[in-house]
Amino acid sequence: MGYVFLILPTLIVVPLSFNAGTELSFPPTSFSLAQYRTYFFESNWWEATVLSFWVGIATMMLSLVLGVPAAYALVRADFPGKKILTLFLLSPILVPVIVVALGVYLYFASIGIKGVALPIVLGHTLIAMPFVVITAMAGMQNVDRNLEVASQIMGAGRLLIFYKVTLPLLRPAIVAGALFSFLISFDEVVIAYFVGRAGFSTLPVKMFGSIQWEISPVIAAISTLLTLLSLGVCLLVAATAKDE
Amino acid sequence: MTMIRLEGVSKRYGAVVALDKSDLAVDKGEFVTLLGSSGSGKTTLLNVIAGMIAPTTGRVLVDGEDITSLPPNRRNLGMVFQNYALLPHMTIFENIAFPLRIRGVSNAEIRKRVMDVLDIIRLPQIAQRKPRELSGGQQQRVSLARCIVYNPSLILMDEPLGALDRRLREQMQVEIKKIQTESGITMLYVTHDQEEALSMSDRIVLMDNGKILQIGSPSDLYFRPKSLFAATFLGMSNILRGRFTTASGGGICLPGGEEIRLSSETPMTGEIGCAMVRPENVKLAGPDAQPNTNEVVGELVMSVMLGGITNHHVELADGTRLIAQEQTRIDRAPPLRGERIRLRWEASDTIGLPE
Ligand SMILES: Nc1ncnc2c1ncn2[C@@H]1O[C@H](COP(=O)(O)OP(=O)(O)OP(=O)(O)O)[C@@H](O)[C@H]1O
Ligand SMILES: [Mg+2]
Repeated sequence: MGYVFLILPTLIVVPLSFNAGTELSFPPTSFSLAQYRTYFFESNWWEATVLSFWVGIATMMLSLVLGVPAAYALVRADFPGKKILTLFLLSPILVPVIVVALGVYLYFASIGIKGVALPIVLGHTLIAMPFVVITAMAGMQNVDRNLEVASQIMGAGRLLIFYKVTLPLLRPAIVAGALFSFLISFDEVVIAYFVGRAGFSTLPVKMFGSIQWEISPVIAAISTLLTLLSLGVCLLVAATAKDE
Repeated sequence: MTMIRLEGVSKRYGAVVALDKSDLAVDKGEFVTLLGSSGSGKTTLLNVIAGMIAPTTGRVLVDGEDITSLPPNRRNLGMVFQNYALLPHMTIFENIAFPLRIRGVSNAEIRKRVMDVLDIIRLPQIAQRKPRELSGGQQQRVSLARCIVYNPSLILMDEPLGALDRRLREQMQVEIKKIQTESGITMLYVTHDQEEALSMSDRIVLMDNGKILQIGSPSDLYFRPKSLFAATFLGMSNILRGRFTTASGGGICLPGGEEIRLSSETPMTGEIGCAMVRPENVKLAGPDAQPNTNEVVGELVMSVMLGGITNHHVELADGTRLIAQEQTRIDRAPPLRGERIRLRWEASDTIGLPE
């Protein structure tokens, strides 16, 4: 019941998005797809969406490339300071996003890279990678160490084992980590706002800006689509998890 | 020809001695079993050979070549695990082909060799299945096939049948032994099941507490154990404690004064020791039996009928319990509980052992 109460404000955008007109109004007075048409065809919203998409993809790739081998090493290898390193890698989850954003902003400002996609991707990777590490570490629980030992005795080298044995077995965890890291980046506003620049906004940043100046009803349509996307991703993760 | 030789191999973890200095040689085509209770160092010894554990001291030689410092993937050995360790994301065909692909064997050759070993394990129709679609016994056969296919110098098996039920385990013992004999593979097998060790092995390596206690053929270990541990670990045994004497060519004097004659001289005259005789060699002497070599008298505690055989438990005056094993006879009334029983056995079946 409490949960329904909490998600109600999220769902309220759904009827709003089908309202015609140029202002957000509740209750909706008509039914039309006008807001969706505006979003897809008549505005620069689509540009922001494409940017967000590519930033999301890049974040996902980078998080996977760094996070999966890190998780593998953290589970398999045995070295002093392993616990501390794990904590360190996961720490961006524990720090408020605004602090991470500020740090990323100051860092890139000081080395002179500013306002291109790269800082956003790096900032997003910082907060998305811990989720990849966590899911991959959890996934490693299902990778029987004996399989790697058996492969090694059969003659396989470490790299071959990682590609042919470990990675395929980690697939569900990697898929989940990939989808979540994409979603984290796609939805993220604070870091993108700090390190982005005018005329170079991701979708959430543009929405945020738009709410501040004029409340365009297109936002309701976009919010509805974003909710659908998140829902889709969660279902996909659940489906792949059940598959294995 | 010696296939594998261990020279002074040991492994310690801090203060724990997992494996004491051990020597072992296994001949080509031989089936050797490491037998010992839990924690006796069997897996440690196997893993030192496989290269998963670096020995603290000693050398491992395969075919005369020192492999002690080679990584596991360059030793050309095979290993079968208790939980099969088949790759769940690959078909059976791909599982068996995997070691061949690593070795760069051509596709046509791979096809032929995989199908050949599937024939050997008598599962030619399962090539396209996934491991989880097979029973435990089938998975273990595939796991063996995956070793045979690349012809390793030695196959190591760590309690490969431990996860199977008794019936299947017995079938698999026969099957593995048959495959091993027919293909002439050298095998080093680990088990803590003495019957498994006795029925499959050419030789048994008896281990306890990180030490190799005795190496010998199954009948050597069973009939000529060198220690009390070996005597009691393998099969049932009757132990009589006493003091060694030299009288009448090796004997032991029981506390009650009876003298038990042994199969061989004992060098430890005057010391406390044991005489061991297997239950199947102990006879219930009827009232008219001739006086025989070794004889004790006791009271029947119980008779346990186990189908074809019956075990008679007899307690001597000093509290020692002996078991006499006989074929079950229905034409003769079994002795009654509490009845005085005379037990007899040959001196040649009696082994003297240090305490
Ligand atoms: N990594 C380790 N660190 C410390 N001690 C160990 C380690 N591995 C094994 N040991 C110890 O070495 C001894 C031998 O272990 P090992 O695994 O070889 O026994 P095992 O004969 O295979 O027993 P089981 O039948 O239970 O498999 C045991 O006492 C064990 O506790
Ligand atoms: Mg073991």
